[in-house]
Amino acid sequence: MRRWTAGALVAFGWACASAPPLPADRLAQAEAEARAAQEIGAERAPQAKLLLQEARESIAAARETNRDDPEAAARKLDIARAQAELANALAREQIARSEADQAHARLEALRSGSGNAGGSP
Amino acid sequence: MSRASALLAVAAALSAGCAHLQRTDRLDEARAAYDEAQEGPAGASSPADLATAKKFLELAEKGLETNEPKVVDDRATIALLKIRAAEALGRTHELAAERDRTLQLLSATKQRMLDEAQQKLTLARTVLEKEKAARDAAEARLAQSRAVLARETEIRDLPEGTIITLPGEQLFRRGRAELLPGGRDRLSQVAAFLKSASRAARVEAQPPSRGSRKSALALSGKRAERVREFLVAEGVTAEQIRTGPPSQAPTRPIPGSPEFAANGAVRVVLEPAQGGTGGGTGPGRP
Repeated sequence: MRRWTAGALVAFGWACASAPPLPADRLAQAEAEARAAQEIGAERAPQAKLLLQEARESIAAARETNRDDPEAAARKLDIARAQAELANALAREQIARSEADQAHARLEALRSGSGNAGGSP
Repeated sequence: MSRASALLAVAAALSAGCAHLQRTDRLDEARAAYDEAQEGPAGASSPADLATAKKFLELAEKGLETNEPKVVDDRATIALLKIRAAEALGRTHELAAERDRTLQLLSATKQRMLDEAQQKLTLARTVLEKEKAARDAAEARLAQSRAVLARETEIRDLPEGTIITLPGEQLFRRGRAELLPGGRDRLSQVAAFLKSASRAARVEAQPPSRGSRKSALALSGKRAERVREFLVAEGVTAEQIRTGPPSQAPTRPIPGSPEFAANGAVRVVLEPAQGGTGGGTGPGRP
């Protein structure tokens, strides 16, 4: 019994020692990019929301893959970062489109003489 | 033959074993996306982001040397995401520029509308000032002509209008309807007053107290028509003045002026102005 326990502990220790941690800088960058996308409102734009979700899933997949294939895990982190960047860009695009539409609406309202054109830009 | 064939087969096998990976579907997709992005908003508005995406595409191309499709696909996926992000940023820049242009147009339109409104207001004020000046001038002329008339003529402001009473002996010989020279002078003053007032008026002749009733009324009608004709000749418009029916009652005598009732009288009634009763200020001669 004691031999079995000792053997299991050795095997566990070997397994832990053989699985390198995820690259800290890549993980941090991917997570930071995801946070930035969330803060800018990516979850309010359907496409951006989907990409943000995919980025989170890619980070989770990287954690799972790391033990068997650290290089593939690192690439998944890069993919996660790129997904989060795209989510961020799409969220910004949504905001810019909304602002452009609002400006157009204010101009049309002013021209038709019936709207409130005195709002903030 | 069999030996040569065997050698060829070995060479082909060796060649196939050493051949590098040439493409993957994902890499092709990334290449096409990059070519497309160059022609779109990313190429025009976010070239730096597109250049970054190109570096990732080149990295994916280099991944072919590893001969590992998974590596190539992962790198191509990253390049594709970067290309899409560059496109989104390009569109964002264009939308921001469009928003700014629209806001500038909005501001210019507001300013133009404000300027137009101010111009209209200024024009309206100018018109009002001119109208007021014209009214003031007309009032002044009216007051002046009334003052001249009031020196020797009775003028009273009553609810029915401004009444100018001219004794018959100033205008006509007794029993006649032809105007005397002095009467013409007096009626010229009346005409000046009526023209200043620019309101409707009527001439009423009061019959003399002497003579038969019938002949007095007939004379009164003729006298009223003569007076009207003279006023029109003096410039009062025919539409402005008309003759009224002669008074049925003989002219009442005025104390101290016995001739007044004897030769009748002529009344010129100027209709009241809107909001007022008189053709001017001042009571005139009683």
